[in-house]
Amino acid sequence: MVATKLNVMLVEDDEFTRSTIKAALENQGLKIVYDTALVKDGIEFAKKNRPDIAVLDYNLGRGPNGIDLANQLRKIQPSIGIVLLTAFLNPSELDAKIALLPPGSRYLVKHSVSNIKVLVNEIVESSKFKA
Amino acid sequence: MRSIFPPVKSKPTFNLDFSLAYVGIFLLSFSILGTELTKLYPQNRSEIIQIRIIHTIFLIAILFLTQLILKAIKLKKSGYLGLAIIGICLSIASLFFRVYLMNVFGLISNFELQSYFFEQLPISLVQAFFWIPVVIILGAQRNKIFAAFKEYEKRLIISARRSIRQSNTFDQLKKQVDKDFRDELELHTHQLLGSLTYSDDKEKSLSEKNEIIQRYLKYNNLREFSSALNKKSESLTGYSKFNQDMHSLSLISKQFNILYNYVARKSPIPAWVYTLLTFVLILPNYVHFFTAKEILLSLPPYLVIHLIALKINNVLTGGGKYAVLQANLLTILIGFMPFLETEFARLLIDNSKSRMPWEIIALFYPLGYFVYIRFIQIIQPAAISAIELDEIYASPALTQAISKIVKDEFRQSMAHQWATYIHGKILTRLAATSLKLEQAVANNDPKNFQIGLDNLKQILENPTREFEYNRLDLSNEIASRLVPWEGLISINLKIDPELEAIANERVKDLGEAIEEIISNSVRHGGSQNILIDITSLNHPDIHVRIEDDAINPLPSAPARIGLGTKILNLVSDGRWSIARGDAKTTVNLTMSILD
Repeated sequence: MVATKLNVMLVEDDEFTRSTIKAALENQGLKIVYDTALVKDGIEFAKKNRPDIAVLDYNLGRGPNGIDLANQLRKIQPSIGIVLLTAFLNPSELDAKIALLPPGSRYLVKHSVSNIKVLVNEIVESSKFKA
Repeated sequence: MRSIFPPVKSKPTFNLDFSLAYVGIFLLSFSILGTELTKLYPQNRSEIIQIRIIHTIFLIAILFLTQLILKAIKLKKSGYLGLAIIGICLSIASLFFRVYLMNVFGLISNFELQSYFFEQLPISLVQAFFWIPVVIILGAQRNKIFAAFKEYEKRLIISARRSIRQSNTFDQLKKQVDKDFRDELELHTHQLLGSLTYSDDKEKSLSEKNEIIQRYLKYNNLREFSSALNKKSESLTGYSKFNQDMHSLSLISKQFNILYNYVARKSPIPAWVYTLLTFVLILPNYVHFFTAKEILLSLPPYLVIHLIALKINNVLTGGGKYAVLQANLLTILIGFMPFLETEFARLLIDNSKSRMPWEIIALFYPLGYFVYIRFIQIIQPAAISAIELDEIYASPALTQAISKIVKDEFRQSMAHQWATYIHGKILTRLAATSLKLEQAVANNDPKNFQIGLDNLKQILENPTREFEYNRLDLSNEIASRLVPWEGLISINLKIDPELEAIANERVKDLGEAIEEIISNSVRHGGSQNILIDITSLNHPDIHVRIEDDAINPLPSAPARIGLGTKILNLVSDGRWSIARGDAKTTVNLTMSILD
């Protein structure tokens, strides 16, 4: 699928990080249809607008994390592609938790996002998931 | 509080508990086997072993049958006479069968049947009137003691946890742990900040500056630090280390010693128990080895034993620092009396038949006697009373062990909070800055490059700024923990109006406990609906009840202790539990809201 045709929603609790990722993805021609810091708003948006991809931060502050949200989004929209961003040094540190991610989800260490093409690639890959 | 050895005139009733009787059968069988193999029938080892096995099985069978009969006739309690009747039935049946087996295996002839029966009869009568009633009484008492001790153990740990948590040393530890984490974080961020100055060269191009900065953003100690914190916070421990229970034989034994010392002083066992116990333990030897003359000669020492026992009683009731030690030494002296007596008797009568192996009479017998007496002492009803009234203090070893656990739980909990903060705030922003700088270079945009760099410096200069906690009242603290879950699950919250305005450090602890329970309930249980009910209890305690509709309920006793369990233990001083029923999982937690 061509990346530019994908409707992407972004949930990240840190405003600076969210705006930076959003700008970088838009710079690559992706359509960020919605961005928010709040789980509740992300769920509401997904219910109404059915985005193709959700880029989610793992650590969303107090309350649910990115994996909790990913599972909920899959219930709402079974075909949604999920990309989980984590600040952990090594995703293996999240092994036990990653097992709880919905099938076909991708995860990425945030630091590698400095090369935005890596994230774009993950977004495209996640869009190939079939419910 | 009455003794389990009541005055003769009183007619107490006892629960019919046979649990110790099975243990008694095995001990008895081993004891008889030892005597028969070594002294009575050393040439017929094979027959003796077979007889003992068959006889033991028979005893277990008739004991079980007796229990069934008593159950069928719904007899649950009995006076001493009833116990003795049960004892007679069991011991006489046992004797008949034993005589029969000895005859069948050829160890006694038909002519010897009668004499063998009457020789063994006194032992059977002692079993009937003493041992069997005693093991039944002790069995019932033991259950009460263990049940009370288990409850007491929990209360003891709770109170030890609470006093440690409220102590000055713990307060200092909290400040120290917080300072250590802050200092280390600042050390790493300031190091990184210092490294960034290498890029402060106006001669360098945007791309060159970026290259230097990216290198430091990628390779710095912050990631290792946060990973180490994360690892520390998630390290699991087995359930062998006590959290709500002692789970340590050494600690339990130390606590039992304190209990023993207390009960021995408060309710010492009567002198006649020492004398009678000596007699019944020695009786089989009288039957098997002693002549009538020797038995008569051995009787006067019982007077000495009784006098020592009276002295023990006086010492214990009189009190004093070394009362228990003196009583223990005198008890051991009584235990050695048969040995001393035998050695003395050898001077008068040299009868090699009556000479018991020295290792039995000089070692196992005194030791066994001492243990028996301690056991009898500890199962006095006074022990239950002391336990129930929390009159027994925690041993220093227990306090020390709990102190270590509480401190470790706190360190782990703090490590988790700092790891989450560093991942969620610091590392995330470093990564975002890295991306922003790359983008600025790609777009040849010095303005945005500088914005990214300034943002980065701001974070690194004061990395702990956002970690600070704003104290909220209870109502707002709980709301702040629940709001993020909106949309994901439905939460019904009830708070006692009296509690809503409370604002202190413990309110934050309550918030953390609730967040931990909710996240577990959602992640592992798949809950959709949660009810939280916070009510006042006896001041300063509150009770939190959290009910969910979890599909995969959590086990009430987790196999491993994870961070969640530790947080709940720390917050509630171990006063929490999980129960499953009617398609609901309920977590009950009690905590002190005011310290």
